[in-house]
Amino acid sequence: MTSTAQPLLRVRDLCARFGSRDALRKVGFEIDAGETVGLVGESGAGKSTLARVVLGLQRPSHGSVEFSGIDLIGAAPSVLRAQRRNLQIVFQDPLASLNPRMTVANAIAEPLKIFEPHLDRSARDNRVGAMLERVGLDAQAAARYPHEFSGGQCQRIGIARAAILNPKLLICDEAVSSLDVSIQGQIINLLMDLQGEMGMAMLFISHNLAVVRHVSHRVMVIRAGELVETASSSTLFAAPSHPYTKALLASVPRRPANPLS
Amino acid sequence: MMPALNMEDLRVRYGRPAVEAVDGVSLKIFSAECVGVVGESGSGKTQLFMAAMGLLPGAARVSGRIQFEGNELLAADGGAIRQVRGSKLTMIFQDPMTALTPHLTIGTQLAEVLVTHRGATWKEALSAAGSMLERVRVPEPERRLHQHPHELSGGMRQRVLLAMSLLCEPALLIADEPTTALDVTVQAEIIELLRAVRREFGAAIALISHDLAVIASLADRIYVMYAGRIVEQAAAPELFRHPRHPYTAELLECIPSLTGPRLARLPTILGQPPRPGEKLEACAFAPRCPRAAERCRIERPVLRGPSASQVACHFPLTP
Amino acid sequence: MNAYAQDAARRLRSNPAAVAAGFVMAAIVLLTLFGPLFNPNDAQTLDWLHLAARPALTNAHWFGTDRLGRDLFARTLAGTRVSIAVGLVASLISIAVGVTYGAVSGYVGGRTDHFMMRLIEILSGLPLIFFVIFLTVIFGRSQSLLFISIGAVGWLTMARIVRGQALSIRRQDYIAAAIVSGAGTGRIIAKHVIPNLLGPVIVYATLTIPQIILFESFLSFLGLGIQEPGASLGTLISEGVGEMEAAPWMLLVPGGFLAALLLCLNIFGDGMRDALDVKEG
Repeated sequence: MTSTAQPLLRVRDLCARFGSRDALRKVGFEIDAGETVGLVGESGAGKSTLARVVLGLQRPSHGSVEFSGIDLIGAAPSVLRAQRRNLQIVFQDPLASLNPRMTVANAIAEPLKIFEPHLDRSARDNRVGAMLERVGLDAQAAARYPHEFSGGQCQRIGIARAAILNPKLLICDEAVSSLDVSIQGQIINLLMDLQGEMGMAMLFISHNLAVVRHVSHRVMVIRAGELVETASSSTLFAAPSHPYTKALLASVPRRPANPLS
Repeated sequence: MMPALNMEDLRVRYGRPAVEAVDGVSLKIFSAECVGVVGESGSGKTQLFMAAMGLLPGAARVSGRIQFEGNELLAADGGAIRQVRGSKLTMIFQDPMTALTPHLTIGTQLAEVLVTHRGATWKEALSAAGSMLERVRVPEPERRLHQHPHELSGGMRQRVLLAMSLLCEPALLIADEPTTALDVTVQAEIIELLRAVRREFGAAIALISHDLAVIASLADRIYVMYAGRIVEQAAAPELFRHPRHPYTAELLECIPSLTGPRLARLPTILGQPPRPGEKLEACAFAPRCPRAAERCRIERPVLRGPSASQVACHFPLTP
Repeated sequence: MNAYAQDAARRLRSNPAAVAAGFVMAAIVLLTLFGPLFNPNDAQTLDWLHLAARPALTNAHWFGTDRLGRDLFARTLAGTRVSIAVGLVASLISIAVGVTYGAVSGYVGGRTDHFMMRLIEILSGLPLIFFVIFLTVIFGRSQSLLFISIGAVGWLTMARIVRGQALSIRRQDYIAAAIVSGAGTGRIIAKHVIPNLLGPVIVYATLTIPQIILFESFLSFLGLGIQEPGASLGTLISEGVGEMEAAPWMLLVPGGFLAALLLCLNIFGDGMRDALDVKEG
């Protein structure tokens, strides 16, 4: 991370509303290419609102979002759309994020159809097939429908769709929170592997502090729309400085000691 | 000593060909103890207790025995269950919002329990409701009695439900994922509250959760379920120190820690839990088990061992 | 998609009323297509020997004749063909217009939705009959005008229903996923919104078709729809009413066919709704 390179994502003074209240108050941070930044906080703190604003799904009332140096808030719709291939998301509810009437293949191929329309049918099918394999699914999954798969498998499909264009930044909004504990590791390891292969950055949003600790290089703590602490992952969990962070860490029920570790 | 709840060879089936949500479960809960039931999706842990409460959908076919304080609950007419449900045998759920009626005040819903089960007058019942709210540490209990569910936070609603389930001094309180939908700080408060409830009321608690850490904070004894079956049962300290079933050991491994070294790869169990329709002849965990051998794929393991520590595995881990 | 269709088909098949209605409808359609082959008479020939003849199996006019000696059976079959054709085409127009309008209005939302809904409310306020009369006066009578005016009026409720569905679909995660994938509004409406509202559309469509057939019959009955020498069931019924006392078969035959057709369509439509209404997925 050289200091002269511009950050991949730069958010400044971001304010946004959710219904009648302030969901984000002057939030500012940066994400560099290739790094994983965790965002932790409780429900209603503004984590999902932040994701939606960065992705252009919601307009902020104030502030700026710069991605690869381009201002996304003021950009013309065509400019914003062109950047979408580099900025992707994986959602919390794997099944709800897939169109129930679309086959898995069509769901994964959609970004290709939009951004690489010159690809012919077989080239596209090959890319989709390769992506399915890469996320650990069988080639036969292509012709099936989302409701035929488990939560973990649906999440793999969502990841395949998000990753197929090699985005520069992937936002994971509570991506493993609704999955079984024994499966969460599989999905996180997949995300980390893809990150290593594609060099993408990740914004990992979660209320699960322990998971965030292992996955992130840096962690931000948000409370009532404000970032109260930002530190490297090791520092934040070993020696938190803000009282809210300390309170959060103290509330996590202790993991029972395990003889295998 | 007669257990408060005794389930013998309980099976819950749906559809034809039959899909087993609960596949031959025997379980005991003694008075004043806290029993944790841990399992992931498809484990059957919720279906098990919904059967005890008589809350399963009509399509469910239940067989086996469920005895509550010596009385058989699975009698044909459901009369036995109705007698105890809501008073001596109560349940709180993951989502407190859906368990509370939106258009009635908290006070009305609480008082109704006492009026129905104890024959109290409304005045007496409301007063008792107010005291109970205080005991579950709801601030400003008098004001809350006149509020509606949507005016309360998630944690507050869960306390109200807890209050409702304690009004008739139950022998057994079933808590199904009581903290899963709550923030971590609120979760800690509810866990502390459940501990206090045990001390003050002497009720037995069945704590159902997928979160081993939550169970570790409260349970005396733990049952581990997988694919509708019990795979291990032991006292809590023993289970965590010397898990005997490979699934239990692997599951413990999967919980990321806040204090140990940061890992480059998170531990996981390969594969996924079997889906409800998948027929399981032998050991349900065999496809994912690192210790599986030929015998595991042919012969179904049976729960074996002294009552203090049982495991259903052909090759259990040895201490 | 297939799994839903198969499931729905199975439920439909196990509904005896709907199955019976389906068979009767199929019988009627086959009759209109192949009946003329078995009938020695055609709809236009005037049989001077049998003016307003009673139905009889002996004289080759099984259902009798009208005032001008035309075979009633042949005329009725021809009329049924016309009624069904008009019903289907007008319904298709109204479904296509209604679904597109409703989907766009519901998905785009905001001021566009506001404006589009006000337009529907204004149009809903116009009495159908006057609207059709108005168009007929301006453009004269023609079959295509009939199709358009009936279809154009039938789309209103479909648009409302579709808009309601689109509003709730809009909030789903997979729509956000499509936006983030770079899809434009057109693509989202076509590929993500409309396919997910087909359930209610199909149900409403099966109930719209008999309504439209009845409406066309009514227009023709009033003399606004299909006229001589062509005829729909409505025109035939109109003629039959005039001869009700002297030659009741002239009313009963086309009336019976129309009643059977509408009854079967309604029963089948209800069956479709029951089959599709179970929560999908």
